[in-house]
Amino acid sequence: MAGGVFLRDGYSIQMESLLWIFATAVLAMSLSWQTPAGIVSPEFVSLTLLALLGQHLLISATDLMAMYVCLELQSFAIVVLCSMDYRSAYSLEAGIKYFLLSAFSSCLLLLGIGLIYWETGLTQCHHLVELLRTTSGEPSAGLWLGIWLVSMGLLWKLSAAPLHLWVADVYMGAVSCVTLFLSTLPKIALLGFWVHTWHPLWQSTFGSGLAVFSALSLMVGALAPMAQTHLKRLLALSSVGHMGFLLMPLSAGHEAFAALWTYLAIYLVTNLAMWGLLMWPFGRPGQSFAGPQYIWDFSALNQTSPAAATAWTGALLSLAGLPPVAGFLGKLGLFWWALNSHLYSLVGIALVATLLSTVYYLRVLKVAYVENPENWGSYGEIPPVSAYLVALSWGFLVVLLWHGAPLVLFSHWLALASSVFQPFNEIRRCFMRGPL
Amino acid sequence: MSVFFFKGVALFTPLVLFVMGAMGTFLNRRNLIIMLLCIELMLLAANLVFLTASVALDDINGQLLALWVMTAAAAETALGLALCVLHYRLRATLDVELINLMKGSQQNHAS
Repeated sequence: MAGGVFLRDGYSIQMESLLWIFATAVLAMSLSWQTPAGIVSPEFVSLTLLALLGQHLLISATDLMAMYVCLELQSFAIVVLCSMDYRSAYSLEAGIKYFLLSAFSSCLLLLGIGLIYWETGLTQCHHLVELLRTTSGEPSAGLWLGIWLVSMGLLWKLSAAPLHLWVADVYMGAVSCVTLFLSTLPKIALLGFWVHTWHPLWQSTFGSGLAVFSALSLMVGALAPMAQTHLKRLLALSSVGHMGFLLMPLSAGHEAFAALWTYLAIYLVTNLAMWGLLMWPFGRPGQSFAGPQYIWDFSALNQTSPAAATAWTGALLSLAGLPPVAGFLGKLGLFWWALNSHLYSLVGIALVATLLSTVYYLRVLKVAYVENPENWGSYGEIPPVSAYLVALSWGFLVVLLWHGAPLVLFSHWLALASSVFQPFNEIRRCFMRGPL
Repeated sequence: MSVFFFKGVALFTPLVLFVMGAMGTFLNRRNLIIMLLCIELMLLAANLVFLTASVALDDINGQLLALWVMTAAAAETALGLALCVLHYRLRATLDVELINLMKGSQQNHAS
């Protein structure tokens, strides 16, 4: 604990190492892709590292102000990364959109912090939790509004459903390697922060109100990608649905966090495999792209490159959560814990969402395997680093369902480590009350 | 009584400013620079909350926090202006209505 602003415990150390390991994979993959894609920008690495520094500190932040500064460090770096390819109008537009909306949401977050400070004179989350417990009544209107605004700011960065409007445009416009970065690493950091420090505050003010956001995200993630034919847009909108799944255990209760980390780990690996396949130079006769762009680019993929088709099958089935691959394990854990916490209607919505999302994932596979090709393109040469990473994560996805014990144990450990604080506070409160 | 009055007025002013900024960002979707100004207004209003709270609570932390926010706001403005310059170079306009290349929806094709 440094000045009461950051807290470094077993949980945050593990989360941070997870962040850095995944970031290494992301960086290796992006760097090997940039040369064939014709995007060479030396500032990519330094900006990514700045954003990672923000995320690293965010996981261990316990003070609201430290949280704000880390979040800004991360999002400023991401704004520049989004508009990295500034000769392209799409990339620039993604940067502007991300900038405007992220600035707006951080203003709301800041006003929330201001209101909390106004009401209590505190910015430290642990003190606030104790205050809420000891006053044991309804929080005052200002404090209530403050906590609500800060949570909205955080959920905006997590792209949960009513606040997901930026996702599709930004993910589509940004360069693929930035999108990979943007769709995975902030989620680790923000979920890490939420569970580490913010969750007790939210829990004591709004209870299981996250179930609403979860349900909305699930519905958006199930319905919105149906009509999309652009791959990045489809994946962006489906990532909103996955955010819905990730919010399910947060509305369930503390012991369900194990399922959250299992799901997150599997989601990250799947994303790595998928974006690796999207960052595989692709060409039609006469044209060449940095990667496949539309669904129909996959026509006859089964004949042109069977290996790629197999890899896509694994990744998409895992995203849909169908049995032979690891995605099923993640969904199983989530549903199990949600049922244990009596969130029956949420589980119902999640089941329907899974069913509907399977439709659009399988539609991609249908184009690759079943449909008669009218014209086709083919994959070029994959950069070796990406190939190794894709193969590794594909193997991970296949093996994990049958040998999932290490991951499940690790996520249980993380869940226990993140809940250490609460009993500790209980005990301290008992001691403080003792003489009275 | 006067303390309550002070607190009420002191919170009311920044909140009104903040709402003005928020409305400006959402309703007045014309020019990128104006949106930047509105965002800056919101940040400064939040800053005012910190500063007045620091006076009302007699606590130095609020002023420290305001300094942090001002630093972040300066960086934010610099980023925004840089994006404005790049966008103007590329498209020769700062009209926000035209920043919808990727909308993919009705609105784009209708206009």
